[in-house]
Amino acid sequence: MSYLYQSYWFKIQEGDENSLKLLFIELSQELCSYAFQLTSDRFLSEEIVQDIFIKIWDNRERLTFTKSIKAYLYKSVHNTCINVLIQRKSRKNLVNVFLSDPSTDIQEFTISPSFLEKIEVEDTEKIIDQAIQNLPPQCKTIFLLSRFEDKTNHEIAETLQIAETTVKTHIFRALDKIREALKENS
Amino acid sequence: MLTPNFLNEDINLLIISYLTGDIESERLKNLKVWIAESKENEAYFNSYKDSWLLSGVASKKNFFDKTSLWERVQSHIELKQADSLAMEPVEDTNRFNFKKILRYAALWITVFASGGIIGYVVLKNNIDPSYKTEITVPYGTKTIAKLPDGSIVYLNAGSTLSYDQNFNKKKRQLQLSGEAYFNVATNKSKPFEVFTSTLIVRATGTKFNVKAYPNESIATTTLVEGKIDIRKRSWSKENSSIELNPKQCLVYSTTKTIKKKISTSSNQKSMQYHPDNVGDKFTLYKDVKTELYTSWSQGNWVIESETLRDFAPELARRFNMQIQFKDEEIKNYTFSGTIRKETIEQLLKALKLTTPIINYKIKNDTISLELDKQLKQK
Repeated sequence: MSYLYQSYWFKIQEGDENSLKLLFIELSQELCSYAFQLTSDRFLSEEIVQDIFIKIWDNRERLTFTKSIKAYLYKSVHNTCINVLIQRKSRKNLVNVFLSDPSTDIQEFTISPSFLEKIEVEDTEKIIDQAIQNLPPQCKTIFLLSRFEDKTNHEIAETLQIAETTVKTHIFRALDKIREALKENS
Repeated sequence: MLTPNFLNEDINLLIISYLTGDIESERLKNLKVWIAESKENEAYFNSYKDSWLLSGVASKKNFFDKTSLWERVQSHIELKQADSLAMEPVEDTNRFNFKKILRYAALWITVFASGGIIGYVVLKNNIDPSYKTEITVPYGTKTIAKLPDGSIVYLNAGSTLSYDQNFNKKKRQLQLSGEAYFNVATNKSKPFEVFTSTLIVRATGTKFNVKAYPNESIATTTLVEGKIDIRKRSWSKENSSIELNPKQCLVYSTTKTIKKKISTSSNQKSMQYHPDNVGDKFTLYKDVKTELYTSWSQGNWVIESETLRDFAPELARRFNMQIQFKDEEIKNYTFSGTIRKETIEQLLKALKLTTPIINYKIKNDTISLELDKQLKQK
């Protein structure tokens, strides 16, 4: 896939609008989804991704060779999200992952190299989907309620009449399986 | 792993607490200290964080409609081109377009606990592309499923949903027997169509409930959000379909069954359609309390003034039992309430408390209801 993105990148530099469109169609959804992980704001996520592509187009003549287009785009999205959130001073948007610690500096949240490696894996989505499919029933239910329905641990515990620690244990097991599946395929 | 075992358990829980946004600051400090201790620890932590983020990305991908997102980028490009051709600078007014309708999609397959017992789902998904995917929910349980386009469907007891490999190609078509609550992923170019034995319910992105059990003579469609239209399968496309707006409910009846009471917030007159002169009709109710029709899929099942006649089959499906009426009169008693995780015994006990005149007996999987003879005579 990466050679394909390289060829788009090259053509964009030469002013080929269609290549920009193809690249956008390929990657915009996952980039928006990633922005959403950080901002929890749908409109903002869309704007950020669109603006990045607009900027790429506006500066196309100055585009330089990049080893991984995908990594470049993810990093751009990540950094733009962080910058916007700093400006807005609303820490509430960095939910689920970074919010918990008021003493943490937002600037600390760089995108990890291991993450950038994993996004290069072909069909990450399918691998994750399959791993989730293979989870034992209780574990799968809990993980999906948490990750896909955005329910809090408390809400899940309430709904299923189990302890919160049980919820967390199951989420851990699910993540473990996903982690293993991603490792196997890298 | 370099961490000692006793710490392993705690660290894993810490990591999950952190990722789910559910950690106290003291424990967070412990976690950060642990991460900073070594590169291995940092890598261990990152591997879970990455998986968390990646599954998050996968879960929300379908929220976003790439085609309409591209439109704004394209407008910008065109404006810029016009700009470079024109003599005067052109203002880029397309830059900020906030008026977008919230799009919704979530993806998952799971099984609900009902009365403390985890039910099961029969999911046939063969690799052979000529096969269909079929989800069957037995009595006594419920299920939630994710469709290939990212839509979610909640399926009630005694229901079957099926679709074939063409789903999500040009159209999104599926067959339903029973009851389902749909949360459809927005895709204007691919209409979402639910086929029951007699009706077709069509939507592009919206939330609605369809109740069409094969052994019942009425089918009810309730719209929560968005827009749907409904037509009979036997109609050709020229016949206009019936459009529903939010908080409206369409009841299709095939025989002169005793009219089911539909609660509406105001006394809105219902509209009736008699499309074919074969004794079937559509009745449209406006401004209904949609939660009465959709809450079965959530934790709290809200019931309002339902007669036992209508309520008994739903109880039977939910608990996988049969209900016998020893006295016909009982069917006319109405009930209101909220059911969460009660067992059937608890429900029947509550019933007895509020309506002492009704006696119940449970034998194996049959509940029989009869009027208390002493109280009846009074």
